[in-house]
This record gives sequence, C-alpha cells and structure tokens, in this order.
Amino acid sequence: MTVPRPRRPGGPQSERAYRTEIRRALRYEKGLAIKTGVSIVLVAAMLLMHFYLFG
Amino acid sequence: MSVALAVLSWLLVFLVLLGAVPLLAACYEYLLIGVHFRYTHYDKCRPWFPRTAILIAAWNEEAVIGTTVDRLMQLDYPRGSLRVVVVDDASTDDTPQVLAAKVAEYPGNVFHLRRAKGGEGKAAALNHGLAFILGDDWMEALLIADADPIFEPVALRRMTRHLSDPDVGAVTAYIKEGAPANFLTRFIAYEYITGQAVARRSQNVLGAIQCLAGGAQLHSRANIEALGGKIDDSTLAEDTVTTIETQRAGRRVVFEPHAVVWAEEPGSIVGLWKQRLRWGRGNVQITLRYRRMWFRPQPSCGLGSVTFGVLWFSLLLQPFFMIGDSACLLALYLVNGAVAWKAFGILWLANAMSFVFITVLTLLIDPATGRRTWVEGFMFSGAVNLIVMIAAVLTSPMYRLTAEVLSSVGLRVTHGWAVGAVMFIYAWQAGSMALAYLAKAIERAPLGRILGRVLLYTAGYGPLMCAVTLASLVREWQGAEATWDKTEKTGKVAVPA
Repeated sequence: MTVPRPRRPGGPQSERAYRTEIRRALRYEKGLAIKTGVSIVLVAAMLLMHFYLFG
Repeated sequence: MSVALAVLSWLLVFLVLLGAVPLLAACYEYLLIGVHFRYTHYDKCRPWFPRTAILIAAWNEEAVIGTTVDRLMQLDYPRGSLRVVVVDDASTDDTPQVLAAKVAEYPGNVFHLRRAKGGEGKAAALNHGLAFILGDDWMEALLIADADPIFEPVALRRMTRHLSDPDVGAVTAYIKEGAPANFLTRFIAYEYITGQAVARRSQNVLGAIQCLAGGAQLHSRANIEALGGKIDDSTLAEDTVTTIETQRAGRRVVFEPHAVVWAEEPGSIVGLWKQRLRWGRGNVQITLRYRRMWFRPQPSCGLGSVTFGVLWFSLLLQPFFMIGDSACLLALYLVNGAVAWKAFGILWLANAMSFVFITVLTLLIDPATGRRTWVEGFMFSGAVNLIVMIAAVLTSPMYRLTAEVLSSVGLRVTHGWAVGAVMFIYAWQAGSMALAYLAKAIERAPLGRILGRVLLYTAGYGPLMCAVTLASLVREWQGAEATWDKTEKTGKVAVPA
C-alpha cells in the first residue's frame, strides 16, 4: 500500500493521506510489541539452555 | 571473626549484584516500548500546518548551510507557512556570503541575522534569533535545528500535527546518524537506536521526556513565550533545561518516532569525546540544578517518578557501578574466593541475558540501521565482555574448549595462572573504561587510528561512554571552565541507501 501523495508538493496533506499515515505508524508500533515478545522468548530459551544443557 | 567475615561476604555479594541495576533498568526501558502503541499521542492529533519558523545557529558552516537551507525549503510543508532564520554567530568563513545568496533565492522565506560578536555559545545565538522571530506574531511554531541535519521531507509535518493539541508544548524527532560510514559512526548509529528510538519511546510511556533533540525540536509559540521567550544559557545542556521546564509547567513533550532527521556525528574518537564530555557535563549540571525534583513525584509530569530517576541515575552513575563491581569482586575474592566466583557467575549471566534481549530488540526496532551496524551492536560492550558473556551462558562447553586449546598449544594451567586470570576478569569492568580512554588518548599518535580502533573493539563503545561520563563528573567536580566545543562538520551527511 502506498501513501497517497499530497495535492501538490508542500501542500497541505489530505485527510485520507493523513489517516493512512497514522494507521501505518500505529501498525509499526504494535509490531514492536511482537518484537519485544520475540526477544523475551529468545532470552528464556537461552536461560533454559544454560541451566539444562551448558550450565 | 567468622561471623564478621560472613557478614562482609554477604555485603560484598550484594554490592556486586547491585552492578546489574543499570542493565536491568535498561531492560525495563526496552520492555516499555512493547506497550508504546497504547501511549502514542495520535488520537489527539490532526493534520496541522502552523506558520513555522526554523531557527538555526550557525558558526563557520559554509560547507553545510547552503544545502541545509535548500533542503528545508523542499520540505513537504506549505511554503507560505515556512521561514528559515539563520543566526550567523560572527562566522569568519564564507557563511555570510552563502546565506546572502539563499536570502536572494528564497525571498520572504529565508532570513539571515548576523551577530557582530560570537563565541558565546549556541544558546546566545539562538536567543538572538528568537528575539527577531518573536518581534511579530507571524510565528505559530518554532523548530530549532542544527546547521547540518537532513530532515526527511515529511518530518516537519509529522511533528507539527502534535501541536494541534494545545496541551503539547514541544515535539522532538528521531535523530539518526547519517555521516559517511566508519567504525565509529556505525557505533553511534547503533547507539542512536537505543538512545533515541528506544529511550524516547519509553519516555513517552512514562510521560517524561528526558531531552528534546538539540537539532530537531519543535515548540508551540505559547511554550516559547511561557519559557520567557529565550533559551536558558546557564548550563551546557540548554536543550534539557528547555525540556524539563516545559514539562514542569504542565505542557506535554512528545517524541515522534516517525519524523526522522539525519545528522552528522563525529568521525573520530577525540571528536566524539569532546562532544560527549560537553553533554555529560551538561547532565551533571542538570542533576544538581533539579536536585529537588528527583524521586519526588510531580503533579504535571513523570520527571519525578522513581522509574525515571532510576533510569537517569543509572546512566549518570554507571562508571561507579562498574568500578564498584570490580573492586567488590576483588575484595570478595580475598574474603571468600568460591563465593566471589558464584557472584561473578550470577552477575554475568544477568548481563548476558540483558545483552541478548537489548541487542536483538535493538536490531529489530530499526532493521535498516541494524543491517549496517549489527557487528558494532554485538561489539558494543567490547570483545572481552562478549567472551565473558558467552562463557556465562555456555559455561561447560567454554571450559572444555579452553582446556583443549591450552593443551593443544602445550600449556598447563598452574595455580598462579588461574589466579591471574580470575583477578584480570574481575578487574575488567573498571579496566575496560581505562582501555577505552586509552583508545581516545592514542588516536592522534602514529598508527593511532588503527590502534584506537582495535582498543575500542576490545574495550567496547559502552565503556568509552562510561569513561566520558566519569570524566565529565570529574571535570564538574573540579569546576573546570565550561566551554562550547563545536562538533566539526564536513557536510557529508547523507541518508544511507
């Protein structure tokens, strides 16, 4: 999906373009929650590895 | 006697484990970004294009100022609502001529103010421009920028939308490192993910922004007027004073992570040291100036919260945590060697887990920057610390590997060797700061750049920052003269492909 361009370069942003941009930003921010979760799982796996295999 | 030794042992163990506080605080900061989507300010935003004056203080910026003005004029923002005011701080190069040409090229949009006497610091130059800008009622928003950064075309309008909420006093952008790549700028680029994309998001969540980026801070007119219409010039951290004063007066400060600004950072260790020494001394001044604010909840913002205080002091006191760790481990070794080894193992397992969590998440947050800086990310704590952390996690394989390597080269581990190795590794936390300082000290000697690079990868960029913090604390304690050391700019800042 591409962000709709403003009516002219340097012109005020259309409402639709603005909404799309905010939706994208929020999607990225929600993605950070998943990335945080992935990192926590990785740390947990390393802890298990340490205590059960290589400690 | 044995009871006293036992008490001393436990006390030392406690102090050793206290060394994990800065990393655990950093982990908490990283955890907060997972909930940042619930704390964004977008629900109170709307498209908003106030008449914006961009204020730049420039001293001998002939290499960059013309391009900067051109780029600002190409921002995706209504041209009629944009003015660039450059305060030429008595430059001795061709900055005035370059600016005169830009004033002619963009009539009504670009203004050139020249100070007859310069060298009084950035705040003094900015105040000169502010007096001009506030002289009429045209300006509705003020963007304070540096002379060299590249604002992505959409950056300004992504910042101004937050000012549609009258409760917001200021907005800061995501500063990214855009200088030509060398090992140091890659370290800085990685550091900026942690210091900007992560720290500022977590501060959005905490409701307490630590510092508006000096090179990209947007204020509402009401906020600037409430600040007295001028920038504080009594410390080396005028940006932080502005940020704190704004929030303490009840106006919100917002970090907009999707407004990206590319800036040129120092390409040499000496240049970086000078810049960070100034920042570090500024932070010490701020700590003292607002001594009644820390750990005292404020009605208007989160600056006085325990969490924010712990995060602030974890950074400021990190050198003492590192020196204290080494000293306590060595003392504990003399009291009870076995307990010292156990405490060391626990501390470094915690360090290793924190390191993995922080590094992986940093690379995931900004994958584009992460792709060109991942080596520096893994070497951030230095090669020696990396090996210790690997050993802390993969303990038994590392023991076996070390024994095999030593026996294959015909070396036998004697008691003396073992004691020496243990003492070395206990002292390393403090030693890594000294080695990082050496990397800076030898940089200008013959072969210094190569040797400095080797030392920095060995000691780590993190310990270098701790060494600078320690130096700034010492300089402030000594009451050394506070001078404004301008960071050298080449004008080669670019958006990486």
